[in-house]
Amino acid sequence: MADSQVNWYENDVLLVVDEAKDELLTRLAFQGEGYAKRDAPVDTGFMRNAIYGFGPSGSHRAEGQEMADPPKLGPGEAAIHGAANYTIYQEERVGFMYKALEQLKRIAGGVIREVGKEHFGG
Amino acid sequence: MVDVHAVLLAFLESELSDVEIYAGRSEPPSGYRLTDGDCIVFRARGGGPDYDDALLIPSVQFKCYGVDGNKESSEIESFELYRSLYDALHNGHNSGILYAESETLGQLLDEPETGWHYVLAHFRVMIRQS
Repeated sequence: MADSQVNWYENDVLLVVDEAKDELLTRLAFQGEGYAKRDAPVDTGFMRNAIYGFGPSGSHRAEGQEMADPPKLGPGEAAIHGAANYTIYQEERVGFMYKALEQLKRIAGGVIREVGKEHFGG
Repeated sequence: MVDVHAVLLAFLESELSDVEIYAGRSEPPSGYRLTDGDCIVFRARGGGPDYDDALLIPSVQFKCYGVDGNKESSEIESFELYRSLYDALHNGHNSGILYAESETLGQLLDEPETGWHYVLAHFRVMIRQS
């Protein structure tokens, strides 16, 4: 039997997995932001411009007056925030955020594969 | 294809008494007045069929408008109405509904135009296709 040895660098592996997970969540949030903005009703454009995605690896938030504070994220979470205070009333009528999340759910597998390839090869 | 709003309306009318219920709407109709009493409006906001088309599984938005004894909009009565809706619909079922569950818990809001208080909530409902 030939000599063999397996080195298991657990901390290195966990670091790569964590980075990939954070990037995946953030990328999904940015993609969802795009869908929501595409379908958002527009009057002055403020509500649409106040929609942004953010996650552990980044944020598209543009600072401006009249925008609500970003919600607090827990570990392993990302969000798409409608920061205009009347967004909820448009969401009730049109459902553009929910529609964006449904679309995001459908394409999530592709984004997971894409991020996985970048971080783990294959 | 089954009429989601009709199935849900029939279920809610059998479970909730003395409540005006309007299907397929985001707000009460223009003819509604607070003197008409408590009111629920609902509409499907998304969802789709299950894998073998035996069920439709919409996500449904509900708005509960509660009215107090003086026929004025009431936060407390709106939550009371929401709790009645929750008790009826969460884990609820009948010949048309296989199963329903709360998706987001109720949130108290005010209508910008009328100032009426209401509770906004969402349920996921599994509706039999046949």
